[in-house]
Amino acid sequence: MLDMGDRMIEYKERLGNALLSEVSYEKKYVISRDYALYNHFVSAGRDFNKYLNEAAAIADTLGSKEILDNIIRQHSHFKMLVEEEEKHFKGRGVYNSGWYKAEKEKTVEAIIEEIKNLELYVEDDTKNRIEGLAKTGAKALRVALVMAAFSLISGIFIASGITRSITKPLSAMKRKTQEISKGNFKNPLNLSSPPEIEELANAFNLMCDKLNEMDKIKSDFFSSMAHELRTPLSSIKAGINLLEKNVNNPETGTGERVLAIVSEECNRLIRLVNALLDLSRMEAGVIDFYFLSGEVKPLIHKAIAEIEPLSMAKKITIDFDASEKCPAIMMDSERILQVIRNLLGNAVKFTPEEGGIKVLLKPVSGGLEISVADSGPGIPEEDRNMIFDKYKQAQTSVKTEIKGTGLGLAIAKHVVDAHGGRIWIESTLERGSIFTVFLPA
Amino acid sequence: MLLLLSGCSSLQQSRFSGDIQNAAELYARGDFEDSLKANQNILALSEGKPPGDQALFNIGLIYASNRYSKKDYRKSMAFFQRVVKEYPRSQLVPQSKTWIGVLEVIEKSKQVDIEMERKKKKLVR
Repeated sequence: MLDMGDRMIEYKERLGNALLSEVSYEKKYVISRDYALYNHFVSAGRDFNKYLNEAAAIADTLGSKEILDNIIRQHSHFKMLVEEEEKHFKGRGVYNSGWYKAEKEKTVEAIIEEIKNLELYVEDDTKNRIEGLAKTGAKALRVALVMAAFSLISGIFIASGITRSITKPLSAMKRKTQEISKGNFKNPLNLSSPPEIEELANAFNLMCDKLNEMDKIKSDFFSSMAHELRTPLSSIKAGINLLEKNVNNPETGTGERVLAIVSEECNRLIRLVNALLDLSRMEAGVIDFYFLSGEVKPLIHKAIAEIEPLSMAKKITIDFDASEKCPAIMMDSERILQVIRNLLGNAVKFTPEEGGIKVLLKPVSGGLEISVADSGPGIPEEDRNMIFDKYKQAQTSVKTEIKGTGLGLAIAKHVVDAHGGRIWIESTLERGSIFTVFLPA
Repeated sequence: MLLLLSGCSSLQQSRFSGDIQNAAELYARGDFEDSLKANQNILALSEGKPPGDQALFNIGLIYASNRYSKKDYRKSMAFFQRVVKEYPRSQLVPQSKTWIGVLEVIEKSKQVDIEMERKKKKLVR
């Protein structure tokens, strides 16, 4: 914008110089009648017209265009006068040279005035534009300051709002954490915003629910364990009392039977405590497995032989199918035997009298499968996913009429997992359950 | 009478021929001041008769000379005009008129330049 003003002033200079050259050559031509001077006059006139057209091309205001139009008009008039006079020279006739001189002078003065007007106009225009720019700049500065102040205040409000929206729910969560540390899992957090805090609160509530559930399961487990421990201890205490009463009357023959019962109850206690120890060690990852290549079939035979007295007592038949040749696998034989014992023990426990248990050993792709099918009551679908969890198992066991530690399946799962295998259940209510173990070769 | 006049004129010219020659030599040497004085003497002594026209013409040439430090076209023009006016029958009249025309052009051109300079200042103001 200002550059245009500078260029216009430059054109004003050029126009002035060209005009003065033109007028100078014209006057000298009139004095001397030297045609070379007339040619110079024509050339200077061309320069003047050229600058005039260039200035008109860049003129961007009505005022400057008007001035340039006036100059063009006056200049044409001046040229016309000169050309007319030149014709008079050639004609060698008498003409009023004084009139021409005065008219040309008047025209040139008018052109000079217009050129000066152009300069003044451009200067005024530039000044106005600069003032306009300064005003716009000042206005923009004011707007920027207002916006900056508004942004700052808004920023402070928003920041304090955000801070409050974060600190307030965090304080609520802190209070809730303190409540949890006191064992109060109730009254879940109800925080709806901001979304991240809401998600955190939901996760927190979920954690509380889980803790609450775990707390309940733990209580149930302790209850179950207490029951499991108290039963044999009661039997042992009753047996000892009986022995004390009959200590002076050994011929009755009851002493040996009582000692056998006490011994059996002690073994039961030892098995229970061992199971608990095993499970806790497995969970802690401190139990060692000794993997050696071996066959599973003898282990199943051994486990069946061990459980046979119990199954016979309930008139339960155990059918073992090992018709297909299975490969030897890398395993900890003692732990796998423990798994088979647990599965068979559960099957015998839950199979009603005169029922049947089917044990199947078969090779499969990548290893072998051991399955133990009982004809028990089956397991409801909603419990199937949790029976391998020690606490859940305990809970499930408590609900059933048949008591047990409920640790067998949890231990079995740990052992199978440690072998890189898998254990799962298929069950139909009132028809029985099939526990299957896959062990990789 | 005419013969007497022309005879007097010839006599006059031969009387100043040495001075004219001297003035011409001084001019040729570039001694414009002395040449001017010599011509002015001739002019004073010629009493409106030849070689007064020659002296006036010479003075006009001296003032028109570019080599003369006191060059003055106006003065030069004035002397040439006197030749035309005071010696209308002189053989130097045509040359004087030519000189007057040339000097007029020069003077007017000078005026034009001055005028343009004035206009330029007006434009700049």
